Amino acid sequence: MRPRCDETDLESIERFAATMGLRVPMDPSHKQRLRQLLVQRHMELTASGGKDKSRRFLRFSRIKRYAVIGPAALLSAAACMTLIWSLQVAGHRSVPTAQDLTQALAKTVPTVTAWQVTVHQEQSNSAQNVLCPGPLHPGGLYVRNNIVYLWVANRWYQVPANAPNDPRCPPYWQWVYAVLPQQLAHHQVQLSGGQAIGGKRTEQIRYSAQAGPGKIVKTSVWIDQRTGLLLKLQRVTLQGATVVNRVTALYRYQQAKQ
Amino acid sequence: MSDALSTGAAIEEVSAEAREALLVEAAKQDPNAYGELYERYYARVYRYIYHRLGSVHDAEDLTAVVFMKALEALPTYRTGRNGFAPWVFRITRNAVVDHYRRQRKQAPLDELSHESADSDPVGDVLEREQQIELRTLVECLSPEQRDVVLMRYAADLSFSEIAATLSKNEAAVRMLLHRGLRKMKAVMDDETSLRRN
Repeated sequence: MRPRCDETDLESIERFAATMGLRVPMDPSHKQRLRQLLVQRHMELTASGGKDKSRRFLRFSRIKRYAVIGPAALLSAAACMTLIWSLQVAGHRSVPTAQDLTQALAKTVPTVTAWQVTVHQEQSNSAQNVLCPGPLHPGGLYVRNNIVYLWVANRWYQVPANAPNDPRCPPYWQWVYAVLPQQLAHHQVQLSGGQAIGGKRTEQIRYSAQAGPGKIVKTSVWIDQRTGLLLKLQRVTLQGATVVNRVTALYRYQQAKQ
Repeated sequence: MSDALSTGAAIEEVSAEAREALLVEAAKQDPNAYGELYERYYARVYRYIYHRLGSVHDAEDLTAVVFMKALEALPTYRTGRNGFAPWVFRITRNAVVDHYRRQRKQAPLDELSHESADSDPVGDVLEREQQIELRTLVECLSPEQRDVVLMRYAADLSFSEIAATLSKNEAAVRMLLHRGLRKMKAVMDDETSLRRN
């Protein structure tokens, strides 16, 4: 009978496996070639916009197709009905929580490839317009644990904390569309049906905050009902009953096809 | 925006796990991010496959298959507790199983030959012998033990990553590794005594 190996005996074989496991013949040119192929393939897949997948889906038999899409379709229909019902209950609008908005934006924000903010500021009888362009690297924004990150040139930036900003545009106005859920999480909000902006149906969210003795800041945001993206933001600063500052920002986006 | 880039300071405080999760998310849409992810995993996947198949050419081909499959399946990836490694190694393991199914036989040991970059013929022969020895020992293991040993020592996965890949708990993985090593040691001792006799 073979004697049992103790731990000391096993150390030598473990060392051998650990050493030889890492020593393999490897051709660096293969690695390089494969990387190029993968990047190329990635671009093709992105350009095809998932057409390959639909072709693959058609390979399923009809019954299997129904089995796959049936439950999902029913679930989506039920979710839509619930959403429509909740929006139609007059006088009892359900307030979207920061979490609801985060979930919606987590899906939409990464599709934004560029955006433009036009800020109109009225203060002390003067008005000025600032145009803040915000082109993004495709797929440059990511939402994780309610925090928005930007990925540029192989580096991560937290938005808006240390994100790069256009010097002509204040960071708040440039990035607020991405961090709106974080902003709303700190306020009691009121929801009402908003005006159409650029032909898009909106929901209006209003909230206010104390900004010093006798000073109050009232904010209204209009979000696209379909995408959850911020379309317009208006911030009015009141000193007592006097408007001391009014800023209106309009947002336009370019989105990648999903 | 490019002018503005210099004003931002990249975040360093994000943990390695979170950075990888973000990289995977980026890789879903950005080819260069996928390239970076590939760089991180290429060697580990290649080594595991090489030790399973014993042929450089097969290992290269199958590594390409794994990363192509991973790329196509990436939109379905959801960040899990154990990160990206278990996901990619499940693809790798399935690819090896498919390969064997297609081949219906294992690659003979004499395919374990390769051109070495350094010009040390004695060293090459010794290295090749040791690789054949490792492969012989690994071949004596049960499929599960083989997976655990190679994922641990060739792919350099942690116990939790192996456990997640094989859908087992960590204790079971540690036990499989221990038993695998014992078996390898026994086979090695047998061979040594046979050589002596």
